[in-house]
Amino acid sequence: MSVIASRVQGTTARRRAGRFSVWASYAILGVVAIVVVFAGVLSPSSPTAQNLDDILLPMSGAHPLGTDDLGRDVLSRMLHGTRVSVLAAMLAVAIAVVIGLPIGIAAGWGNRWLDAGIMRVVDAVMSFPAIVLAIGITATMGPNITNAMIAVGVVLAPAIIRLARAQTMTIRSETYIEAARSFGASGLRRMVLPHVLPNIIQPILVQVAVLMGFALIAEASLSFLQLGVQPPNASWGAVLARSYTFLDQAPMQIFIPGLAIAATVFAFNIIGDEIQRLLDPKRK
Amino acid sequence: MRILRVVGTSVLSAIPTLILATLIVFLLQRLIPGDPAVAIAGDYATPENLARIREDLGLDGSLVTQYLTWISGALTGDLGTSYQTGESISALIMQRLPLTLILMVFALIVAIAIGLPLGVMSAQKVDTSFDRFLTTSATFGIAIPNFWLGMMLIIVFALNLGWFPGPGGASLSEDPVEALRGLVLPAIALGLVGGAEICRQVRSAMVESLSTDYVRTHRAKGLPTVSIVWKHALKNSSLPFATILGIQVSRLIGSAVVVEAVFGLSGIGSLAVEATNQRDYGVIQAVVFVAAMIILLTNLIVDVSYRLLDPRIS
Repeated sequence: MSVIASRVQGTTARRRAGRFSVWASYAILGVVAIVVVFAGVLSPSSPTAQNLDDILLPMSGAHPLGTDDLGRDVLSRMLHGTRVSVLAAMLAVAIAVVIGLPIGIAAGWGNRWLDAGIMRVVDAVMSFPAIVLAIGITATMGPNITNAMIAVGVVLAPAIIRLARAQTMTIRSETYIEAARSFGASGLRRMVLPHVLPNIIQPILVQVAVLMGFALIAEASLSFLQLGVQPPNASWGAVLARSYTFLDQAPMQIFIPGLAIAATVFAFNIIGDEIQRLLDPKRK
Repeated sequence: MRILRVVGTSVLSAIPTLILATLIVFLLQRLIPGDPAVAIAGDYATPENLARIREDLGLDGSLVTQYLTWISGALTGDLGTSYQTGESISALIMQRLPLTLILMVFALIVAIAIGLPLGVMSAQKVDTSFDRFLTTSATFGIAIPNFWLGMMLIIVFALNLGWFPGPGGASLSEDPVEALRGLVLPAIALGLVGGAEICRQVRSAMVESLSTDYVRTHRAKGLPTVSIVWKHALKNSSLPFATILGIQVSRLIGSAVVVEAVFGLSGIGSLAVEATNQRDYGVIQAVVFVAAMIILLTNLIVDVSYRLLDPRIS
């Protein structure tokens, strides 16, 4: 085999390896989506039903992931927790986009002073460690999952603002925008929605995937600190927090929620990279 | 003289951000639902108690007066008194901060020790299966919640092997050696995830450095690869590296809060958690304030080093 042929084969093998993590990520997110929709049907029992005769059972046919210290079925708690965690992360990211997109476009499109003002506030919000500010906001507003996710949404918004601003600035001098302007297009309905938004949305999508991963870890962190999902409800963070209290009796139980978080965040990051790759105009 | 001018410019340009950041911390208190005095003192507080708290908070004055009173106190080190313990909040913070800072330094060392060499090696072998393996592992490393990693480390190295103390270590002032030993596992939990991030970022900075013309010139004149990579290219990546470290400090403070809770360490993170459970709003506000000040200071240092390292930025 010639050197060139072996090189080409090597490249194909590498591509295949790269493809594998992408397909694995699609599979992970597919499973997560199914669980989010069908958590109620898939769960063998109620996530909050206690049975004090069956506490801390190991994995078995009746309880595939065992039971916790209150005799609750861990599989049911994980399945319901998946729905809560993922919907909570989606809420946080939606809030970040709803706040970030219009402000970012305004900063990129508007005059210099508006831009400078907005960017100063963005810098100020970004000078807080995201989790610490989210803890501060949630602790003050009252600890529950909605407040926690509003707080996470607020601390994530600057990432969207910066990106939307940079993208808007890039396209504002493009020919098609000039053309639209020369036809008298302006304002939200005639300019921003038909011309600006579709042309800046792709990088925002990449960012949304990355932020989903961040929001999932934030939910787990805040729920672990009892600032998010409140007992007896389940989320990945809440299940992790509970199993940590009986770590020495059933160490395996902290493994599953952590792995679920890590795998899902990994999948979101890989898909984010993949969207970026697909959108890259230099791609062959 | 140049260094003074550089520091001066950086400080001046940081002032508006500082003012806005303090405003955000101040406005946190406005988020308390209902009457803040009732929220702080509890539902069964006496009217005198409520009146005292209102006076302490300056709730009778205008918002501007309240902010000015608070900020002049905060910037001179007076962060008020805790409503739960009656202690000075500044004293509480000073008691807890050293542990968090030491933990962060340890974690940063672990993160750099792992991320820097792996990132450089990955950049050297760009687009090989080794590079792909490292990049994928780093992506997975970033996805791991570090407090969960901490729990796994506790199970293996504290509960099973007994090499390191488990949660609830010794206090720094009473038994420093044991307390530092107790920081090893949390520092690894923080540092591994940080190292994964550094690895990816160093890789992309180095890939860029290694593809520049002067690197090609060095190669052409026969300089050994080790010297090209570790001396010349790495030096040229020092600006992005400063930024990477700045971002890491910000990430580490956030993650340290949760990791401290897992390991039962009494740093400012667990102070925030305790304060949350006791609805001690002044303490929560102070922790957020201190965390932001640490980051602003870090950003300032990064900014100064940028201006000193790169003559093009003036």
